[in-house]
Amino acid sequence: MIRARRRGLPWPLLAFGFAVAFPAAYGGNTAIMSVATQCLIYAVAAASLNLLMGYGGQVSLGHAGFLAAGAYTAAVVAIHFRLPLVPEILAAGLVAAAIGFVLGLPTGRLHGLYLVILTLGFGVAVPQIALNWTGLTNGWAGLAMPPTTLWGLDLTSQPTLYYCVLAVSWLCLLAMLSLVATRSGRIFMAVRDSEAAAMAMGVNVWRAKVKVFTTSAFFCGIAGDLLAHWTGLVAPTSFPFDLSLLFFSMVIVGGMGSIWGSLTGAVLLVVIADQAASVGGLSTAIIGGAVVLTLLVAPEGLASLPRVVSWRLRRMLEREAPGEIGRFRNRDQRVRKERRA
Amino acid sequence: MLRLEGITCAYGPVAAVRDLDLEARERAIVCVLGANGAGKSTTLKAIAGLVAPLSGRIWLAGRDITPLPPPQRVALGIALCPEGRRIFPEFTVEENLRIGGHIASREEVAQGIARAVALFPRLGERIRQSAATLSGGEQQMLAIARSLMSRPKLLLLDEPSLGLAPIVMRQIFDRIRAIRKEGATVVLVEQNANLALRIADYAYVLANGRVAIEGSAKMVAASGVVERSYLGA
Repeated sequence: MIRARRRGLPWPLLAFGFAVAFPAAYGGNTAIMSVATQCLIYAVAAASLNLLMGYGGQVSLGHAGFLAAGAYTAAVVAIHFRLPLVPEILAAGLVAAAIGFVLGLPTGRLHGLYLVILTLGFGVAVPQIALNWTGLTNGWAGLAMPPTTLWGLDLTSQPTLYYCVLAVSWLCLLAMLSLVATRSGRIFMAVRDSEAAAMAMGVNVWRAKVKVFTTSAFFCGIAGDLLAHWTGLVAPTSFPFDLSLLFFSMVIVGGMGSIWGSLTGAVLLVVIADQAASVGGLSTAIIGGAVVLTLLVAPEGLASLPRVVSWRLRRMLEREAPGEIGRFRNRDQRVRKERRA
Repeated sequence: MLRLEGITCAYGPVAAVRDLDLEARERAIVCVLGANGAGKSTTLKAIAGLVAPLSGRIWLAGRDITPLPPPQRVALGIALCPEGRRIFPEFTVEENLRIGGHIASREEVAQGIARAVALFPRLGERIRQSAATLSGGEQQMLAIARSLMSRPKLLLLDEPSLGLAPIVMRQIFDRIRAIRKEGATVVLVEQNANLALRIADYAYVLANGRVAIEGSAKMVAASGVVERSYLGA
């Protein structure tokens, strides 16, 4: 948040303007609108994971599980209770948050790899539970989302769904962004940077960790709700382990500790995956390549790219022009060019 | 003010501190000296509650605080300034101080920042700067100022001279004296024994987790025990 304040251009605002305007060009093309919708949904999921990883200093390889929890809640609520959209979204977030809370409780004792294994187990278990809890989830066949309307608008058609997802996802991103700028956010980061120092200052480290876990799951649950509307069908196969890894990659590619970075990472990887799907079977390899490339070029993720590039440029310019040497060289080149002409 | 009775701490099978007794009177500067691995930092961590002792009791102002978790100890007036400073690099100086005043009220935080700036004017000049851009000495000042934000009655300083130039060290130690003057009791863990003994009232020298010698700082300084225990003889 400190960095964003310093940067010149209001990138988020520009991105939002672009997101609002661009269906004017592609609104008729449902395939493109569908990918754009997916970008936004995954951006919320990736940002929620970034809240946990980049700000909370913890790891989750099971965020697809929270996504599934949100999506199933959305379907169950829509089918059985016929709630309007807004309470349905909140329900999806709250159910996921409750699960996140329970999963976060052991974080006081579990660190590093053990936490990874716990979340990984959770992510793998959720589709299995969904498969076997047929009474609630309809097992293998899954649950079809009933047609939803919001203020008379049909949410199953594009670009209506896109705009609805845009509004919700942007609200979520802004909410996360303002959260990390508050006292709570500072405490998350303090715990991330040094648990011992935070503890010595009277911070209840365990409570902070559980809090960040719960909040992360809440937003991921909301992404799950949106996903249910986007796919129209909630089935166990929609939440494979790969999906958790994809969110993880988005956070790394976008940059840990940058909400807007996660949006960038999500858009990039969703578009790559979409384009690569036509190559056949290579999309995972290409995404893996993108992660490696990012780590090589900008280890702090795409969010750090403007900083890295401007730093490199400045260094190049400084090398060109320390006093007279650079200028002489430039003049020599100019003279040579003139002679040639 | 502070009393440790028979404290034993271990990491796994290795005992770091064995049956340690330590006392700090009100408004005293007590220094804990010793070689690497003598158990100095562990002692401080036990007082702050970051390490749970296997046995023994810790008393603060007549109250048994042994079972209390770290946040409650902070509320009772214990503040630890950890080894290696552990400032939060992405935060500004001011945000670091605010985190230090985690348990304090809004007015107390404002007063605390004012006090920190009065104590370390350099921090005032850099109040909006990111903490990562501070020099080592300034980071140490920030770490100390941050631990003072909770208005501690007992300040635990772990190796404040670590990695600092001699002139900066002396500045910091001069400020530690000023902190005591404001009414705090200070327990100071140091490798730089000469410097610590110069400002301390009372000293403990640890070796292998036990007290090798204790006494007034003057006496310990004169005895030459420090050198011997450092060399392990």
